[in-house]
Amino acid sequence: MNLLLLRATARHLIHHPWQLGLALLGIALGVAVVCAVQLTQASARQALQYAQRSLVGPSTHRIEAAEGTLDEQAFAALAQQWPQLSFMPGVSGDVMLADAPSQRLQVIGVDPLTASGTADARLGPGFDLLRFLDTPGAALLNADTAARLGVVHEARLRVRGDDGPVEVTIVGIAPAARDGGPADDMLVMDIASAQELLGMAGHLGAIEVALPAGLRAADLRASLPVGWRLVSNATRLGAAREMTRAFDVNLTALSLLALLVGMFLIYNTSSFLVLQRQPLFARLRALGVSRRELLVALLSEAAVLGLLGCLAGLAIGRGIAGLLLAHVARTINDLYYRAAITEVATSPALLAGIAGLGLAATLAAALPPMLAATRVSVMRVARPGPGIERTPVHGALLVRLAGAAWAVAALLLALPTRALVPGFAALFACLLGAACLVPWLLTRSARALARRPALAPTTLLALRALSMHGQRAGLAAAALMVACATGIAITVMVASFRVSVADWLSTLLRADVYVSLTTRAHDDSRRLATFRRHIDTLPEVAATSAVVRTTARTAAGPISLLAYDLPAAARPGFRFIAGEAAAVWAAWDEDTVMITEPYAWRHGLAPGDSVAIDTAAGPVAFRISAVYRDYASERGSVAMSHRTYLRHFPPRDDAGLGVYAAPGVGAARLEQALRAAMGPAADLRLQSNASLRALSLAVFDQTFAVTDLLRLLALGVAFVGIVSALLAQQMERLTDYALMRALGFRRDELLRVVLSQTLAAGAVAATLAVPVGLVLAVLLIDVINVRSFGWTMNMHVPWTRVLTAWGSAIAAALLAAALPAWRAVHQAPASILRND
Amino acid sequence: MTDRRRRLWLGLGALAVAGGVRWWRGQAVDAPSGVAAVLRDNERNAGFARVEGPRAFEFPRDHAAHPAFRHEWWYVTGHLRGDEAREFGFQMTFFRYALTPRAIESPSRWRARDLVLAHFAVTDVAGQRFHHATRRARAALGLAGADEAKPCLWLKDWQLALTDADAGRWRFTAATAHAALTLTLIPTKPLVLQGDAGYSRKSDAPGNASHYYSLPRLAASGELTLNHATQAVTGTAWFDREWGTSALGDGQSGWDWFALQFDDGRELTFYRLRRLDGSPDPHSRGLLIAADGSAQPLAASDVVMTPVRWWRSPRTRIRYPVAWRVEVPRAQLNLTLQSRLDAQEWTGDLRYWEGQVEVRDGNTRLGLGYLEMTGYE
Repeated sequence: MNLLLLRATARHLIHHPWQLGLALLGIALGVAVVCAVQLTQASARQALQYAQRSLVGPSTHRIEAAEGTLDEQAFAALAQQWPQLSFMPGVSGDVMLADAPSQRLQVIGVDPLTASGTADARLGPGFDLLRFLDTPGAALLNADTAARLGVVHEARLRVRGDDGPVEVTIVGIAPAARDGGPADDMLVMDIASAQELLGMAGHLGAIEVALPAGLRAADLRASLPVGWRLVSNATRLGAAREMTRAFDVNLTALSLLALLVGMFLIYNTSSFLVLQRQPLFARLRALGVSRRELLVALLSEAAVLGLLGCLAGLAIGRGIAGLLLAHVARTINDLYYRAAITEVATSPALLAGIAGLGLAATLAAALPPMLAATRVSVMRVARPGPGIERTPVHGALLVRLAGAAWAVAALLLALPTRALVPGFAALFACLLGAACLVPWLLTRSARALARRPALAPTTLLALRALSMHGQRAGLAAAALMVACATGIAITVMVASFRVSVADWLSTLLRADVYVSLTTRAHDDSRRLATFRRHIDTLPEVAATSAVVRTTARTAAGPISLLAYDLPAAARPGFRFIAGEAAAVWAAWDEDTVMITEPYAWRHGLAPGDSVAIDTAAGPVAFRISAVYRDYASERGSVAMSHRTYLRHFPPRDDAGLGVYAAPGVGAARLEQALRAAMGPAADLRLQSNASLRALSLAVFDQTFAVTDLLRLLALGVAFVGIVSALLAQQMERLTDYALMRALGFRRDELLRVVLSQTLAAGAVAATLAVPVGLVLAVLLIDVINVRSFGWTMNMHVPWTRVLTAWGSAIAAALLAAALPAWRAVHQAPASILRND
Repeated sequence: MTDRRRRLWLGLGALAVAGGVRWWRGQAVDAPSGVAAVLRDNERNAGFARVEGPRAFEFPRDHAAHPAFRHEWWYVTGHLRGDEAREFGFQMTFFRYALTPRAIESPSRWRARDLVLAHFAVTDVAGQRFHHATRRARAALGLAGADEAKPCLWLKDWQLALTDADAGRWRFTAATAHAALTLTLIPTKPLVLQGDAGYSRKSDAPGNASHYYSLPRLAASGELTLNHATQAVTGTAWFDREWGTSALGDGQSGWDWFALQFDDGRELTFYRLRRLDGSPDPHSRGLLIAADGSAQPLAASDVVMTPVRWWRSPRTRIRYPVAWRVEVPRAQLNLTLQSRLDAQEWTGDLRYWEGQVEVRDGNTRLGLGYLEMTGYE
């Protein structure tokens, strides 16, 4: 009998391929978005692991400079001091292809001679060590990268370092990253070749070391030169992951949102499938099929659909992940760490997990309508045909649900926590609450409008129908509202963020030209300081500012320390969130510090508190004079005057200079003068105020490109939802339409009825989406962003884009109605009525 | 000639190619074929000086490095006696391998001209342990080097140097995780030149040869630390020096080399090159050195070597003949060489067997020696 049941239900689906397809599409799209985001994140993590994996042997720790590079003579001394340890020194840097400057490659210089005898296969079979060592510019690539760049063994590759184009010779193709070879986009060279190419002679980037069991890390650490640190591999990997945690959580939340929209769709589709087959179920019940059997059959059907949808979703998701990956990779490289993320990491466990989630979501969404179906009255047998057994819209229940969701949201927000997850939960609760209101609002407003006098009969008919059968349209509208509100919220948040950053940049960047070191090593360890002394005498220069950037230690861990030497012109560049400007500058040279907003947030500090920083003479408490706005680092930094810095810390070269033009001197002339002062070495980077600002904003936009993409995906899912809901609705009402046609309604009149219904649903959804979106934007800005990054920002509503979103939601609804409307209008009424 | 160069090639050739493959892949590799491939690649040796005839040796200058040539080694083996007459064998080898004939100008200190490879082993006869370790580095940043001006080789804290040229005193120090050895070596017999006055030819082709001489007996004294316990040790050592450029020809599968020190003050050294078909190569050579230091050259036909016992390495599954019968009819010698520990196999980058052997005639112990075997499968 089960077979009969399954055959009966299956036949129905096969005869209604549109519904089957839409149901599958709904599940697939929801799963696809979650899958895409998860895969992207897994890929980023995997790329990080590849990037951190030692190329020359098993290592347990890495020695790094707290800042900058390691001096190789000091390394030699260390290696002599610990002769029993196998140190694996390396250098790294970036080059670009001379013929394709957008293609950057990471150069990794290793000393293959330090590799242990049992080291893993990293560089490939047939690897010619001698060639690698005795040929300047010899390099290896992994097989994937070689294939992508179209490079073969013995090929010559022109790359551009700081000194212009240089030729490297590919002396071997190493295995792909997944097979244990070097990471993607990595050019592996001997350390000598790499130093030559990168201009890093005398410098090491890092030293890997495998500590034997008997040796304590602390003993090695104690013998390291000042400014060097020993980090265990586990810590290193953990720290990098920690850095992107907030970013990860944000992406995950966005993907879950898409799944939520997908669930609406599944609920919608499965309830429709159930409703439509009520006569069949009634007949089956009359034949003696028990409720339980019916439920099992329906659940199996949902499971099969869910499984198929999930599989399709995984495939689509993998494709989308490829699109996302490029964006995420650039964001991660720009903001967090260097890793070539080019390959989508597909782990079976991850895929299985996502499929499980999708399946559970499908079953959860399909269960309520199925339970309803099993309660179908046997009496329905008497009235066959695609009739409707309407569950009345429980308006009051929906309103109560909305209230409950909002109460939960308020409660979550009131929790005294800074955790991100409750913040997102509140956001979701808020959104769900609003979604519950949509069907109720739709029927209510339709009813209210229908009461207005002097309505055209077609409009009246549409409104009445909507107020009576509005449940299905209500669901679709709810999905549309969720997608649209989310879109508006993200748009407002990103716009607010961007305006705040642009504002901050234009306040902060007051100098006309900025000078920084290029990546190549400089003979003069105080290159910028020397250059500054030199240009201070130029007539074109009115003043210069300088900043020293370093990492200092506190009891709570390392912090980023900035030491500013600021002329008067630079001071207004700081915008204080707490603390008085006059007081700050009055005490500037007196062992006070300013802290950035994220730092204050992370450590719960305010002006008047102090920060204890380790100095050579032990920890010194610096009084906090102010908290200032800064979007440069989400980890936060501490700033002090250069004089204060020199009283407590060893002098070091400036990390950047700001140059202020003398009155009447234009930026171009100033730049020219600076270039002349730099001499033929051209070893410094000059950037005008405008180009630095543009570059910063470009990085910002890049960061949010992925957010935008996800927003579009959610909208896409909602769009499919609306099509499917409307289609379902029109199917249900085909008899009504046929009857109307038989009664003499013209096609255009019928069309008007269908479209005005859709328009009403779209308008209600879009209109509700605006206030909901704004509320969500406030939550994103004041809760999520603060908790993720510690940044506050001023809300800025880009009304044109909000209106565009509003309009596109309505347009999407209308567009989605096109096909169902066309079908409704072109059905031959006689055939339908005959069937009834 | 060919012999020790082979050893070098096993060392450096394996490092160069097979070693490259082996180490990066962490897999066993067919070393002889890998080496042979490189050895035939004479292109790589362009620009290096060649050994084309005998040379007027000049000491101590010639104890130091000869960077005009491609490869060079300093090879010390010996026999020590410690507390309670406990016996040990040791091996200390420094290889120099030039990457380029002339230094390449570069701002990078890592753009070195030479690679240095060192092998150090201690055989604890009573404890039946073979402690061995390998190091390698380029001659850069003062971390490793083979000095051209004075005889001094070092690789981090491993060192072999002529510390007193007048007395001919050498000193070396090296350590593994469990064994550390510091020795002073003073020659007690004059230096002997191998081949034709130190011109050791490997084939008839000109230039395929090396400069080769040996210090057949040095008095050794110093300290050995085994598992953190230090003891004074004394004994004798053998010191081989060889350098050259060009590579091996085809047709040889490996070699068996030994240097024996008899208790009566004589020494016997011989290398038997094996051809691919297993037969001895006519280029095999040796020396029998009398107690007074006079050396009598031995040709391939003067020495008959016969394996009497085989040992299979549990790690590499290679079978080595660890006991031999050696007959030198011209000198009325009929000897048995018996390994003092079967597991004296090198299993790192390079695979070979090199270890201490006892020399017997029947039941009579005649002395001790070092045996080296390569090219076994």
